[in-house]
Amino acid sequence: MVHLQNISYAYDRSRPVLSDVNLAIKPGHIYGLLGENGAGKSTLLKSLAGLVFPQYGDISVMGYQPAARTPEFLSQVFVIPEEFTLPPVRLSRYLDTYTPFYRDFDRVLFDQLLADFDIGSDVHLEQLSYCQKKKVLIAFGLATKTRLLLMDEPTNGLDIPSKSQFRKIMATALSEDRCFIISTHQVRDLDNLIDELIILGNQRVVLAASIEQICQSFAFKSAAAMTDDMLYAEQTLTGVHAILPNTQAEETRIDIELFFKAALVKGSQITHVLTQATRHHEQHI
Amino acid sequence: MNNTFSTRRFGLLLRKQWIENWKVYLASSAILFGCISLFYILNIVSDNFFQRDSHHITGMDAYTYFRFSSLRFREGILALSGIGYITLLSGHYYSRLSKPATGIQELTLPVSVTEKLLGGLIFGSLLTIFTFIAVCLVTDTAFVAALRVIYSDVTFDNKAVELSQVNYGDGEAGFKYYYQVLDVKSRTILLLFAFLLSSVFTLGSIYFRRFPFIKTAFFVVALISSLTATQEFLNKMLLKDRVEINHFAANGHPEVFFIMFLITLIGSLWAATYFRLKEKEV
Repeated sequence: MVHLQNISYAYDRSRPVLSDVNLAIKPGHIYGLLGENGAGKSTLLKSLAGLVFPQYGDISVMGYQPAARTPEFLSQVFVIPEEFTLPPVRLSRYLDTYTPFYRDFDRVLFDQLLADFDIGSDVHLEQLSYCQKKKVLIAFGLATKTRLLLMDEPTNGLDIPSKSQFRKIMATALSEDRCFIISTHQVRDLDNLIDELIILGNQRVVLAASIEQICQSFAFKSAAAMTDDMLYAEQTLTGVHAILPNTQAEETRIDIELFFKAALVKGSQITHVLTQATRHHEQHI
Repeated sequence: MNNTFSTRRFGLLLRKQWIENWKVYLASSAILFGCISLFYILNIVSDNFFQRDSHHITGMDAYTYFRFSSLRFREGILALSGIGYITLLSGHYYSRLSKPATGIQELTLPVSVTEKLLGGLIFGSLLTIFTFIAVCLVTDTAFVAALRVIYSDVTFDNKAVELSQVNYGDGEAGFKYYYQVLDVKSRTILLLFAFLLSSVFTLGSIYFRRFPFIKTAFFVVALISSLTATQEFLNKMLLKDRVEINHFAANGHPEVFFIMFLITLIGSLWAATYFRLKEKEV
């Protein structure tokens, strides 16, 4: 669905953001795009939507060149940016104005999502709080039924119950021909939501793998003290939380935040273990 | 799907832009009407309104004079307000593209670059200019009509009519509506200048990311100043101690060439705007 080949982008010569990025993204999955501040998450999302043009490399999204920004391509992509404004009109007027641009817009789904988010049906958008406006935009984005949905920090500004609603809604909105890419630094908000993980660091893709592969390759455990076989560990009040190679084929629950930190600190080791484990698993299948 | 131009999509875009921007146009027009009206009132009620202008008349009382020397403030007010109104509104249309909060939604809206450009032409230039003309005409017509009613008992002698011809070019003395003052050629050139100004500030609003209006205004002033200075310098250097023997203006209709030049320049600016819009990043 999405192919990035040798993508490099810099805002100016002194500020390279992405360097030689290669990535393949498949439909039917929710991708979590993680990285530290300034790692290039937003830039990567923007390049997929044709909002920035990489200096080097090729991007293909559903067979289109995003840089051309054709209406046919744009009608199949929806971006929910971190910063946004909604026009000062009633919700009904907003829908009348914008929905005709998206031929597959599902009004029933939109109304359902709005009800799930506890937003009134014909509110005046100017009178909504930031959190409420964000929910309206998320509901609209999901209801457009575009094949690619890009979300930059969608849980920023959402309260805790809303984050829970968001996770539930996202999981039910996904279909086999759609792909959601969620960029966030609030790693815990992606718990039980994403099934694919992309980690950016040092202008590159440090890791791109499915949650299933990660859980097959690594064991996430708590222990009293650090041991030599731990790939990465963090001290806690009760002991250590650690990542170990999953040599015993144990089923453990992924700790995305811990894994993210481990990937940034010990990226090559983590990638090596992942590759070895994946190869081993494929041989046994 | 036609990725270059679709009438349906273009209509949807125009509708969207109108719904989101009509308040801006209404408020701007109201402010323009208020400012122009205020200047009309201030000039008409001022003592200068009845003063003699010894450069143009002698031996005529002030009451007779005002019928053809009054309302000359219109050129200045309309020029200044036109520059302000047209540049501000033209620069407003694409300025949304420079801010991520609005630019991302505008650039990812499923419309083609051609449709976005035509939308800018209609809202940024045509609507702006014609709104300005409409407000000025309505204001001027209202004031002149009122003055004609108020001073309907004033009679005109031959001298007054003769001097009116010097100033206005036809036989009618007294208060004139501004559209009667301008001939077709002047109207065409002024309209093209308005489009030129609008085109420059539209391009500036999409070219510059931060403070586009100020940067465009600075660029225009700098360009005009440098061109004027260069022309003066070259004139002095190349044409020193020379006598003009073949005045271009005496042959044919040079204003036609000037109009064609303006049209070409406006077209070039819109072509540049198209490419800039195509390459816009946010």
